Order: sequence, then C-alpha cells, then structure tokens
Amino acid sequence: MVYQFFFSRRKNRKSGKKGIRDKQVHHSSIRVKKKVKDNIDYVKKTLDSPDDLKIRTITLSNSSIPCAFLYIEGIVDEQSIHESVLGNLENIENVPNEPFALLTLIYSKQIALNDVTKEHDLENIIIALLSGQTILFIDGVQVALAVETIGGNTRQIEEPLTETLIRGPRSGFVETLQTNLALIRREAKDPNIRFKTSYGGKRTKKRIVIAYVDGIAQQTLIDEVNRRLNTLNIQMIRGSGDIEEWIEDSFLSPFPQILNTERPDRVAAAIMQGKIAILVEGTPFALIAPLNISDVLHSPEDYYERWIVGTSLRILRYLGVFISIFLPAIYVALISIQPGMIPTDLVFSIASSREGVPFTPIVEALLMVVTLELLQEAGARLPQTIGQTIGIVGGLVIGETAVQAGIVSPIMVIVVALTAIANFSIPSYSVAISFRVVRFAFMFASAILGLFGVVLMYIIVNIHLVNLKSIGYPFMSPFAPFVKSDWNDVIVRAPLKMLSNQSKKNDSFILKG
Amino acid sequence: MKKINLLLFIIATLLLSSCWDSVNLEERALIVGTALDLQESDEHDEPPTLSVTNQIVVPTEGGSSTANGGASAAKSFMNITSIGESIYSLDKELFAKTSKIPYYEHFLLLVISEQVAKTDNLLPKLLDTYIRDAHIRRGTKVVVAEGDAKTLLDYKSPEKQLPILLMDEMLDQNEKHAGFVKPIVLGDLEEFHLKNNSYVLPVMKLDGEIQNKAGAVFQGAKEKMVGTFNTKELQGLALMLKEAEGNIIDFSYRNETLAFEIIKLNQKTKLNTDDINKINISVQLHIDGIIKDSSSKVNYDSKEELHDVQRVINEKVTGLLKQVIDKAQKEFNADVFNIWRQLETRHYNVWEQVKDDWEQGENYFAKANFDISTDINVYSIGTSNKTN
Amino acid sequence: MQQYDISNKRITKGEFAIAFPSAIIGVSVLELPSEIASVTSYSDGWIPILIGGIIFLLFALLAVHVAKSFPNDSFYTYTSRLLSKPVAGCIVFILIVIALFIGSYILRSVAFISQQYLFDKTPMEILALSFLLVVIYAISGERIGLFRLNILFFPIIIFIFIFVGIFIIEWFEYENFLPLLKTDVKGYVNGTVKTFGSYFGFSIGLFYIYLVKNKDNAYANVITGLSLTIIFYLYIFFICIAVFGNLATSNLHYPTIELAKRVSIPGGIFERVDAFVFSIWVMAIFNTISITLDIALNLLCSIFKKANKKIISFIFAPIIFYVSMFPESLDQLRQFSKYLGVISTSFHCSVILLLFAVMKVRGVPLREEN
Repeated sequence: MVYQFFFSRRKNRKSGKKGIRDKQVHHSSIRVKKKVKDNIDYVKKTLDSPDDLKIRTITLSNSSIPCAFLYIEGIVDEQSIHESVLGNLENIENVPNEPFALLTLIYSKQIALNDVTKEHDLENIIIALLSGQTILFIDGVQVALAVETIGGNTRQIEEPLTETLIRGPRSGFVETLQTNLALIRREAKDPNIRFKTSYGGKRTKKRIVIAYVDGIAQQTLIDEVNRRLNTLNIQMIRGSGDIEEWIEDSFLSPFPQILNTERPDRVAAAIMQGKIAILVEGTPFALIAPLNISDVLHSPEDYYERWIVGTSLRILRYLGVFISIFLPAIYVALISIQPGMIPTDLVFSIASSREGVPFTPIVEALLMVVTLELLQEAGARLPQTIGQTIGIVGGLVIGETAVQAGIVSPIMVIVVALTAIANFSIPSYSVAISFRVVRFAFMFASAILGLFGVVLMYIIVNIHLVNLKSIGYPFMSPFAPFVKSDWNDVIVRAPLKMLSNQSKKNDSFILKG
Repeated sequence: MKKINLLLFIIATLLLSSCWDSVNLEERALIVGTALDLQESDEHDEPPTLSVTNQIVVPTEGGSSTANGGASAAKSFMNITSIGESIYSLDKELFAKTSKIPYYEHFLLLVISEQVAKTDNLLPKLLDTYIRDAHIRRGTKVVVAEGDAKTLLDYKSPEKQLPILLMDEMLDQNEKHAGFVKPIVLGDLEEFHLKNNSYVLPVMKLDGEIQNKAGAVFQGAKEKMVGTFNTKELQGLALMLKEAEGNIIDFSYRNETLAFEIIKLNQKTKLNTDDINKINISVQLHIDGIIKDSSSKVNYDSKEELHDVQRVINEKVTGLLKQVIDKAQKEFNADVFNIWRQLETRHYNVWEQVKDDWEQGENYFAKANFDISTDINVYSIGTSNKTN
Repeated sequence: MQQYDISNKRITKGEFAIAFPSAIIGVSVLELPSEIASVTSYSDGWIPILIGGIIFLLFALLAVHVAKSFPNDSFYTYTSRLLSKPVAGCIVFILIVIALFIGSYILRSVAFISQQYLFDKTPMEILALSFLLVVIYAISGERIGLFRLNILFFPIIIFIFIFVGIFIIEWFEYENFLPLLKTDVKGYVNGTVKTFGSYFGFSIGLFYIYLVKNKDNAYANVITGLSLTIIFYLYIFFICIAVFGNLATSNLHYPTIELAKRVSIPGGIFERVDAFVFSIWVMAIFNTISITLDIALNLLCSIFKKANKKIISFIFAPIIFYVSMFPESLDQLRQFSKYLGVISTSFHCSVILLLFAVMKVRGVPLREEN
C-alpha cells in the first residue's frame, strides 16, 4: 500500500506535464448558451438547484433583454450586490436594445465594482459562482459577466494562537486568502513581491498562492515549487498540510521540511530572504520553503528584541531542543546501564528514591512520557477553561500521586517535567511535535544499549538529516554544508549592523553550496 | 524503505530480547570501599588468605522518600566480609547475601591493613587486580589502616553515616587545609610500583573516632610497607615535597607554644653528583608565614624579637626536616622525597648509573648527604600586636 | 550572486580538509600514546608522531598531485589510463579488500572496547551489528552526506577532547616531560613505524579529488587536514605523558580512555565523563569507518558502473561482520591490526609512488574516447 503510494507519487513527479494535461482534460469547456434560461438550467442542473443558489431574473427598464443574476448566498457580500450591481443597473438610462451593446455598456461603465470578468465557459462560471462571484447572464450573448462580490462572514484578524510573541505584531492570518495577502502587503511594500495563483484539488478547487520576491528568490526554486505544485493530484485539499505533504522531499522523515506559520511578519521576512511562501485558501497557516534546521529554532522575536536578548533566547532554545530529545534517554541510560556517570552522592539519593518502584527505568520513563503526551494532546483539544483543569490533574494528581503511590520515582517526574518545558520552548508546534517523536527513538535506543545506543541513534538522526532536503536545498545548512556567510544568524543573532545590509544577506542566503 | 523495515525488524528483535546490561539502579550493590585484611593462618607456607570487607550503600526501603529527606536516609550501609584468595571470589557471596549485583563504578576508597601492606609480594598483586578492573577508577584513594582495616568500616560517625565517605572527605580536606601530603590514588600507585618508587600512604586509625595522623612508608625495592611516619615526620615530608602550604608548625618560644602557619613555601633542591657514592643534596627552603596566635607577650614590632622568633622557627623546621630525612635514609632506606626524579630529569647520566642501586644494593640514596638551609620570614602577625 | 545548484553534490574545500582528520583519527588514537611511549623514553614520543605525520603529509600531497592531474576521473578510470585496465583492476581489487579488512578491524575494536568499558554482559556481536547497521545506513545514502557528517561531528570530537584537557590540568605533572631527548635512534625509528597504522586514511585524496569543487586549494586543504591530525595526536600524547608519565602510559591498553576516566567534575551534573568521551569517540570512529567503506564502495561502483550502490553496501555488511568476528582475543586483534596497519599503509604508499612514477615517465595521457 505504502509502496504503491510511494511509487505512484514518484511517477507523477517525474512526469509533471501529465498532471497538467489531466487538468485540461477535466476543463472541457462548455460555451455559454444564448438563452439565459438555458444557462440557468445548466447551472441548476449541475448544482442540483440548491437552496443557497439565488437567481434574480430582471429586465432592465425600457429594454426587452432578459438578464439574470446568480450568486450563492452566504459567500457573497449581498449589500454590495444590491447597492453596486443592481442599483447601478437600474439607473442605466437609454438601455440599448442590442444585447452585445448592453454587455459592453455594463462591462465597461455601469458596474462600479472593480473586478468584472467576461467568461465564456460554463464550467468556469460554476467555479466562479462557487467561489463567491456573482454571475450576470444577458440574453443573446454567449458571454457572461462574473462580478467579484466575495464576502460573507469571515473571522476577524486576531492574534495568532500558536505563535504568540511578547513583542511583535499581534495580527495573524485568517481563513480568507485576500485578507492574508493584504496582511503580507502591509508588512512589505516591495513592488517586486509576486503572488502567483493556481488552483488545487480536483474537487475542492482551492486557490493556492505562491508568494515570493522577484529578484531575490532563485528562479530554480520557484520553478521547482511550481513543478511540484503542478503534479498535485488529489481530490481534496483540506488545508496547507496537504500541500506540504505533497510537495515535501521526504514524506518518511519525522522532520518537517516546510515550515508553517500563522504570522504575516514571518512570511514577509522569509520571502524577503529569498524563500517562497505558499498560502492556501481557507487556512490561516502559510507554508514557508525551503526550510533549514536553524530556521526551525528561530522566532521572529529574536529580531524584535535587542540582539543580546535574541541570541540568549536562541541559545536557550538550542539547549531546550537537546534537553527535549536527550534527557529521558540519558536518564534511562544512566539509571539502568551506566550509573557510574552519576555523582556519588546523587546516585545514593536516586537509588533510595527508586527503591520500591516496581518498573524498570524504561517502562517508568515511557509511562510518564506517554502520560505527558496525552496531557498535552488533551490540553490542546479542550477549551481553555477546561484545559487548566487538565494542567492541575496532570501536574498534581499524576505527578504527585504517582510518586506517593510508589509507581514512579520523583527524579523521573522532574526529568519528564523538564523535558516537557524544554519542548515548549521550540517556537513551532509542528517542529516540536516531530522532536517529541524522535525522543521515543532515543529512549528505546538507550534502553537497549545505554549511552552507546544514544550515540548510535544520534548518528542515525544526523545521517538522515544530512541527506534530507527541503525543496532540493540541504536541510542541515548552514551547519553541513557549512555556509559561513549565514553564520551570523544561526546560533548568534548578530546585531543588525553586522547582519550586513539586508540585500547582501539575501543574496547569500543558502545560495552558496 | 527496505532499510527502514530492516531497521524496524532489528530494533524489534533487540527490544523483545532482554537488554543484557540493564539492571535497575536499586538492584545494584553500590560498593564504595573495600577493606583488605590478612586472615590469620596457622601454616606459613600457604599463600596468605585475605579477608575482604566491602562496604555497600543500602538505599532505604519504600518510595516515601518525600516524607523525610531521602538523601540522608540513603546513607546507611552494610559491610559484607568474605574470605578468599581472590578479591572477586567475593562477588558471588555478595550476591548470595544481598541478592544484588556488585557494582564498582562508585568505588572511592581502598583500605589496606598494616599486615597486608607489610606482607612480602602481596601488595603489587592486589593493586594490580584493582588497577586492571575497567570499572574501578584510577582516582580511587588508597589508605593504610592501623590495626584491623575492617573495624574502620564499622565506625558510625555522628555526622556522616558512611565511614568510607567520611574518610574520603577527610583526605580531601586534609590536603586542602591542613597541609598534609596529597592523598595517593590507585593510578599513582601503579606508577610507583612500575618504577619501584618509595611512597607514603596516609594511615587511618580508629581511636574513638577515625584519625589520620600518620603515614605508612612503602619502600620501592621491597614493594611493601616498612614503617610509619608520625605527624611531625609527615610535616617534614610535606616541607620536602613542597606540599606544606597551609601547614601549621608549633614551636615554643619563651615557654609558650606558638603556631606558625606556612603561607608560601619555596623549596629548591640542588644535586651535586661529583661523587656518586656521596651525592650531595642541598635543600633550600624559603618559608613565608604568619604567627597564628598573638596572645603571647612577644613584641613583634621589635626587630630583634622578630629575628629571634624566626630563628626558633628555623631551628624547628630544620629539626623536622632532619628527623624525617634521617628516618628515611637510615631506618627505611626509602626515597620518599622523590630525589630520584631530580636525578633523572637533571642528571640523566648519573641516574643511568645509579638507578638499579638507588634504594638497594649500593644504597646510593642512603649514602647521600643532605644539606639543609632554611630561611623563615614572618611577615604579618595576626590581626593585633598585643592583647592584654 | 552565487547560485546554489540543487543537483550540486561536490565536496567543498572545507569538507575536503576536515575529511582528512575524520578519516584518520579513529581507533588508533586510543592506543597510539601507549604504543609510542613503549618504545621511546619520557616525552620523546612526539618526534616519531611528528616524523610519521610529515611522511604521510608528503604522501598525501603526492596522492593529491597525481589525482589532480585527472580532475574529472575516478580512481579506477585514471589508473587504468596510466597502467592499463587489468593492472588497475588488480590494484582496485586489493584496495577494496584492504578497506574491507580495515573496516572489520575498526568494527571489532569498537565492539570490543565499548564492551569492555561500557558494558558487561552485552554480547560483542550485538554491539558490532548495531554499529555496522548504522554505518551501512550512512554509506548507502549520498556520498556528499558522509563529508557533511564529518563536518558535523569533527567539532564535537575536538571540543570533547579539549574539554578533557582542561579538566585534567589538575593532574598534570610537568616533570613527566623531563628529561628531553633521551631516546636512541632505534627508538625513534620503531616509534615512527608504530605510527604508520595511525595515519591510515591519508590517501583519501586519491579517491575523492574528482568530487572536490575547488581543486586549486587541494594542497592547502591536505596540509590543513593532516596538520590538524598531527596536532591532535601530539595533544593526546602530551596529555597522557603529563598525567600518567611514560611508564604508566605504555603500561595502559587505552591511555586515552583512562584520561577520561581520570577526569572528575566535582559538583557537576556528571561527576565523571568517561562514558561521554567514549560515546563521542564512537562518532570519530564512525567517521573513519564510513569513509573507509565508502572508498571500497566507490571503487567497486567505478568498476561496475551499473551496480546499485545500496545493494553493494548491503553485500558488504555480512562480509565485514564475518571478518570482524574472526580474532578470538585482544592479542589476536592487536596482531591483526599490526600487520594490517603496515600492509595497508605500505600498499597505499606504493600505489601512490607507482602512479606518480608512471605519470612522470609517460606524462598525463590524453583522454581516451571509449
């Protein structure tokens, strides 16, 4: 099954053109018919005349040409339809009796809304209708007008929930693509910013926008992302996660190769560095690619604070990653296989605290770490008010009581708590999760072979990481391959003046092999 | 893909099979120290039988260590003695008695009884066993026990419950503050025995409490203990080895006992090897120090009096040195001052000639002449001149 | 603006320089101080280490010189152009066998030493197997990945040994260095011969230069790489002598591990660091064995152009494992290593000399069309 998936995907990738041809075949065009009624019938038939499809047939004053408006309730801004479209049309004086002249008049003069397009294809018209445009059919012409009236109820711009900053902009992406693009524009007014739109999902037809800065982003990178997006061959796009999984280099890797973020400032900064952002309609998470290991641990906050603070926080985060991955493994290794490394006094107190614990260290550690994972998952899924209860249950009941019941040793609770806290310091949730997965591998290795096992696992992870690519770019850069020019912004966040002038840095960004 | 499957397969087999070396910490017998005694035997021809006493840390039972301080409760111990020729024959017995697996990584101290130390050809063999063990560290300290070594391990001190830890700490503190000779560790002993050097080990004695007041002298050529230095001789030794900083020398001046603390010690040894049968060793000592208690009636402001005090200290120090040198040369014939090292590094050709007869045969060390000159400088005297 | 070529799999100059110490420093760093101290007196061992280092530095330069004349050819290709195909085939075959033997020796040493110092009952076969699998995983991946791993691990290795050096200063006895220069010539010669095995890996220039991106710096890279190696060896040797003295150093099997066992950080989270130092050293060994086996893999792939790299590396695994389990005792292992060290090093040296000589006599042949 997995094999098949892997295989089929490869094939698709290699023959990118085939995917495009598929799309074209699917878009067999049906020309707009002359009669308004036929067109309405076609739309009704295709959509099975749903309740939310609103059709208004009107005849303009002193004209005999029947016209019809179609829109879907709820996803359009009805007020603007009434005021701008209908209102304007009714105010037309000297309505020509020739249908084509009427069309031209409406198209060029009468509709005050900025975005009106002529459509010939009924298939496209249906997609336009479903994405919130209002369609105007005019009897006698084989062209329809699609008026941009996207609206309806959307979420307000709020502070991003997953990436809160202490100092920094408070706005986060929302589900509406237009708003998201606007947010990026507000962050950077560079005329070279490009938004390239395509549609994805055989059925969902979601808008996907690739954002980059022309002249900074490498053409090969843009081409590669486009090529991969063109092979997109799935029925439904749920959100940016589907795109991420489709275009990433290794889907077997536990590490994310594409970063997701809710923050417009982060996206703006990334595209200014020469990266590419992918925004998908209907999700507040934008994708940033290529990603390398140091980006994973960077937070926009590093730049908003003074450089010393930024650097210290970064070092803290690197430490956090190491603790989060290694601590339970090292605990297991030291307690069960190499207690000689523990200081003499400490070993006595650990031995006495473990006296009476019925489990081996690995079982004890697994028990606690899995409990912690469950707590984290439960906490994330529950409403905030109940989430606090989970904290109390987890912290007090499970921690304290488990120790008192003699199921785990107090040191184990400390280890697990420290691991969890360290993991929370990783700025990106999906990266933090992948580190949590890796942690288990380390724990098993250490239970079998102690510190030797931990080191072997560390080597394995490193082998994997050096072979890992993000849209073709080495994931481990600037560590390996060593890119000296990027090192002023890896562990140390150099003072702004030393980050060289921004454009120069942009040039050198992972471009040197 | 195949790779991953293979890896998964291997990990699964590894997990399903037992983890060979995984032993819960509380199931290990943490051996912190060992006392080696000689078992009395009637027949003298038999190889000496050893009585080995291991001190094991016993963690307190029950997980409720939160109730009353787990750390202090952990320091109860258990001594297990067994008799045999090899040290490791004990391990089985230990397992039988405690159902725990002996673990030597936290081995801190080896206590050798005087009798063991004085037996011919026994010590190098014993030490070798400990040095070869991959789990015992080279930093393990070694001391000699006056009398039975076992009794030291049974001592229950009011402050620390573990006698081994107590002794271990004592040795460290003594070195740092009282100016005793640096504690000797297993690694040093290996070097000493490889080169057949003489050395001095601290002597521990149980006299109401554990005391560390003497030093056991081991003669290089004989590779066994030949006698002891008392506290005064140890002071002299410390002076010779430049390790006496912080040491306090008592001296009497006008029927008062005063204490002189050595702050800075400068020692130079020069060798004259014109006549190898009478190598001349000139030892120059320059000591800066302070008088600890100023409650005496001495007026230190007066130059004459200060001179007088310095002269008395000088005599005292020279006396200490003479005493220890005399004992080392005449009684033990043991170069505990590492004079040989000077010869080796500075007079390599001479050393090549004398190295086989340094402490034996021709006894060049015993024949050598020591020339001692000391220079005492009392530079600051307590905090006040006179307190009346 | 330098563009990053996505398909670029070339070795950078830094990676090439670091590859030398990574490929050379391995098992032998544990034994070297003991071996050298046993034939020299006091601190004189630095002379053989230095002489040995300079000899192999020269050979390494020569190797790079030969290989650089064929900038885009693999070893097999240019050897067959210089010496005809059958001869080149023989040489390549012997080189592969040597590399596999060295790999087995390294594998066995890791298993043996880690069993001795870190474990008690864990079977050596398991340790060897798990290590071997990791190595096979590495070499079946991208070749450039190995060089990047060197870059990742080398600083860690250096760091941990400097760390040990700092914390062991307490036990330094500078008198152990004196007197100077008391070894006779025979001792120096013996010592130099004993360093031969420790410098194995000096010849990687022969096999990898065609992958190096900027070949102009190759000589400088070789000098940097081998100097780092020599400095590292001297550093370890001097610390051993300063802490243990000559006699004890020569009496210890693995003085470098004993150094780590001597370090204690009172009041630290880890009082003792030996297991950590040992684990880090496993990374150094991993670098060595992965480069060694990759040379074999590379050579084999250059003969059988259509062969799948992954399959060959899977075929290697049982061979290496089987050979590595041959020696029955530590003594046998040491004998094995002694002969292996001399044979492999001298063979590599003679291949370099032969190629150089032929190149001088016949000149660089023009590229053949087939």
